[in-house]
Amino acid sequence: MKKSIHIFCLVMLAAGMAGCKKYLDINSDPASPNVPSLPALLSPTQAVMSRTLGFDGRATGAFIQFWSNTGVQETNDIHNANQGGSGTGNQGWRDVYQVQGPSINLIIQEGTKNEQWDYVGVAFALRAWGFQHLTDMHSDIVFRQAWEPNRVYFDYDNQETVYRGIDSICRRALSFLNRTDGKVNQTQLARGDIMFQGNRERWIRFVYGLMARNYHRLTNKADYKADSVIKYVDLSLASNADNVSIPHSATRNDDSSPLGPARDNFSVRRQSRFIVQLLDGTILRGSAAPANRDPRIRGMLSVSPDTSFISPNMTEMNGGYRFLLPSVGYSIGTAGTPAFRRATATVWGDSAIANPAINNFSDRTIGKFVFRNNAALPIMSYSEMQFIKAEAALRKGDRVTAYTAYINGISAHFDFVNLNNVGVANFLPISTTERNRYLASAAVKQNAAALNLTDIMQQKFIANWGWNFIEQWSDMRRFHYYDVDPATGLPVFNGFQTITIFSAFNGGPNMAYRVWPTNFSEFDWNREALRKIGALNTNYHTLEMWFSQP
Amino acid sequence: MNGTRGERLFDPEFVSLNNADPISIGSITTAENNNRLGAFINYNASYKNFLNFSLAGRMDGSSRLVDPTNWDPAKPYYFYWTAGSSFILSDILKLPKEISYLKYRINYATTGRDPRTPYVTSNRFAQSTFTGGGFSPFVTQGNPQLRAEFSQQFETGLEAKFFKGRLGMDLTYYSNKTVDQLLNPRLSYASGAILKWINGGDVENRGIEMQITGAPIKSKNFTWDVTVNWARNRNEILRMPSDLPFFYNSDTWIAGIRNIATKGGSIFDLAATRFLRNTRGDVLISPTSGLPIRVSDYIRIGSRQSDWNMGLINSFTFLSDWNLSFNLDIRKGGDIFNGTEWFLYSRGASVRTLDRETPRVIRGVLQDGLENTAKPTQNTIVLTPFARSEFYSLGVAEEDFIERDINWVRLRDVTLSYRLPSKLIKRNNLFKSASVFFTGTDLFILTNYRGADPAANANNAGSRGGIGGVGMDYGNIATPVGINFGIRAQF
Repeated sequence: MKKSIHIFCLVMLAAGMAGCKKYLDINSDPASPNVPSLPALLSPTQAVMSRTLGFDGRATGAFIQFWSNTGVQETNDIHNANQGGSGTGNQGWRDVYQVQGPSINLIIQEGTKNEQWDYVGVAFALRAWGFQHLTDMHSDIVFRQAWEPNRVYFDYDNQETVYRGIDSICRRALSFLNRTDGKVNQTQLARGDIMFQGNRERWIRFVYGLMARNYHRLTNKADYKADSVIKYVDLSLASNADNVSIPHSATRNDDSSPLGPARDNFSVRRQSRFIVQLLDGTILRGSAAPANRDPRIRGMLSVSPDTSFISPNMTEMNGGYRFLLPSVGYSIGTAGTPAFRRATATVWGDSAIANPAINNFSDRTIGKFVFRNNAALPIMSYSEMQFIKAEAALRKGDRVTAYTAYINGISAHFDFVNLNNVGVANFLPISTTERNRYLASAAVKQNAAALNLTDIMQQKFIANWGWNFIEQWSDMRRFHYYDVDPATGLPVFNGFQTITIFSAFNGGPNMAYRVWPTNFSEFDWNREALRKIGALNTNYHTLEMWFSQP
Repeated sequence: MNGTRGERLFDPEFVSLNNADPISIGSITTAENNNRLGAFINYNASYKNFLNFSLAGRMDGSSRLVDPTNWDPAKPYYFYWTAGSSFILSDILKLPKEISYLKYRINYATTGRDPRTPYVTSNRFAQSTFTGGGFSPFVTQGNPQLRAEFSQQFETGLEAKFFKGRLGMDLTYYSNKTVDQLLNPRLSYASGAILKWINGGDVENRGIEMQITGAPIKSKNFTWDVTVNWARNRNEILRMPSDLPFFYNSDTWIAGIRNIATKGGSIFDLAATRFLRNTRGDVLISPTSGLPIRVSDYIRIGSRQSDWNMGLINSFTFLSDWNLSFNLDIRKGGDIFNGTEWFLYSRGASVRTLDRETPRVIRGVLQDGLENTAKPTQNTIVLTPFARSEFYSLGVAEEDFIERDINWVRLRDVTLSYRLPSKLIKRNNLFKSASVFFTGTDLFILTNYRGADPAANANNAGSRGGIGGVGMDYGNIATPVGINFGIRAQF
């Protein structure tokens, strides 16, 4: 009897405690919100993209010879993308899944609830970009199971699934971005939109640009759709005014460009022979005589301090634009000696053979081209789109369209170089006269009949140089780095330095085709999923991806 | 809590935020709020003083279990209870007169526990330091389905006294099972998190404890008291959280070895990468280097769980004022990782590397495609470590530095004390009593461990989770011998 009274009391107490909402419902952190506003969620989701590209570009930039490293047989120069040996190339895995992922999910959830369709569309567009980056870096990725709650390991999907999935994510993005009902509002979107300030038209063009990339990667397949690619390019960026980039306010480390001198990610990465010789006339004109030089060289590359010094070595005669070769490394002599002065300059500026401003956030403008603390990091350009169109048109035999796009691409990149050097000390903008002289020179094909793949891909390499890592790496993988254009018998990337020294992980002379999924999360915590796709084999990074296979 | 920071002070001596470069000044706010409430009920009954029964229940409510985005009135509460009973058998049964006291007890208890920090039931967003500011997801993501973890403790024991209390014995069996453990493991980033709170994992500890106390000699001028403690504990992981294949505490990742939790194993297990072996168990040797080939998976290779531990305390009192006592600590079994020796060996600083100029062939078979056939090729590649320093890195398995079945007998402390005779004390008005003593600690250890001291721990108090670095010797120094002399006085 006594016991049952106690139990009764306990039940009563429990019922009473259920009313303690005010007392117990305090588990939200007063310092960190659970559901931030959509603008507050959106801007870091965009801003992180520059970190992804800049950090991963340290690895991919070496594979594609944007630059070579100062170290002898540096990991990426010898085409090692094995996470056991290198930490570069894994930033996207972290940023897309962990930094963008939960925020994009929440924007889609809350935006749908509030009928803010423009936010939902932007969220899908960013998601498409993220998955495209990841699959082009790593091939198989977690796609269908990503962010599933209550899951502790995550299976990988093959690249074909991911490519098809990105296509449908882009279409969903478009369907939302085209809506004007509900609470769609440019002012509201602009509050968190550091890329396009709420301009939905530009978002739509960006999504078509992503679709053009996605479709154009499949050139080696029998069902490659050149017409779709051309259509998507035409719906994408219409001029340099539509170029897509991530801005940097450059007040401290995290909001400065990862390519800039303050963050010092690139002091060991110096311009490659391929880019120097594409611009100094060696490859396109046969010699580096002053008349043969591309005027863009002064806006993109760096001159070593001894421009007056002419050595017997031919490479010294191009105006002082020196280069590093992969795996050879770089050593400089004592200050004051000729060997010292013949060093290859850093990416940050003429005569700068050492980083001029590590950790210096007070000088926002130091550096050149995209390699400045406050420079926006481009993620898609009009030129790139035009070169995609040129290749697609050439492949389907429409030389006239191809030639127009080719000339557009080159011409627009001259403006791109000028635009990306605004405010750079001592930079003399390239004049229209200079541009026209170049376009009329033998470096550029003068009629549609003469145009071939090599012309397009070399000019596209110049237009991509310094920032468009994934697009360029995908191009090179489509052509297996060294493929020869059957129409001319010339390598498509004529002038690309042949790699002779390889990492032991590559199991022979095998180039890098993918980067291993990140060590920190996947090798330790998702190992069984890696085992299933064979990613524990040491040569996994040399396997060709699905997109470039026939 | 508010924190502020500033860099590049203009005046190095003047500590103020106003002295920092304005563009470097930042501030951050953190806060932690918890509320808990509880209701308790207790019932005790006893019958004629020989049968005791108790029952207690407790209901707790914790704000840490509340999902702030979705209030559910049932979520914060968890209930646990305990029941216990004891019988003084010597009061009801007619026992031989040598048995002066006999008591049987049995208890069962459950205990609930909430997460160790608040704000883990929901996703949180932290201030972004990127261009444009805003909020980015925390690296630790929340879990709205988080529940309290429970432990279920069962204990039963027998307490007996013989010969009017001269000999006592206490025997206990226990089983302590923790279910739905609250854990904060690392996960694939594809989860959207780097660390995530989950419920999961059932771990059981069961064991026997025995204590014997006795006074074999009790006379006017000499008394001998003995206490023996003996314990054996077995730990077993019954279920892994969310069926994870393994889990490790990164604080214990030391010198290529780490603790590992796997189903059926124990939290004392150690894992390391091993050499690749063929189906017969022979080590595979690379035909190009002559060195073993390593697999990158961490495999269970040892357990630090001891078979049993024993403490033996003896105390002798003689001539009423003298006392000598000592405490022996005895342990049987359990593996120790001698990381110090591994470190020295792989760097050529161990005496075991003195034979580095002797050519040798590593025992194993070549990985030449025949390794799993009936006739594998025996390794015959001769190498001299002196010329091939990778012998000491690639050719060394951490596994070989695990010392198996380590036992010890250790003299924890020995004390001799003398109480000043009361006659002497009475003459002064200052002291009521006084004694002088001499204590030696850790004066000797007998062990089959080859390192400095098997009572090693590679972690310090700052490490979290599990049992930490117990039994991992990595630069540990032996427990020092202590000698103390003192005077104790009461005023």
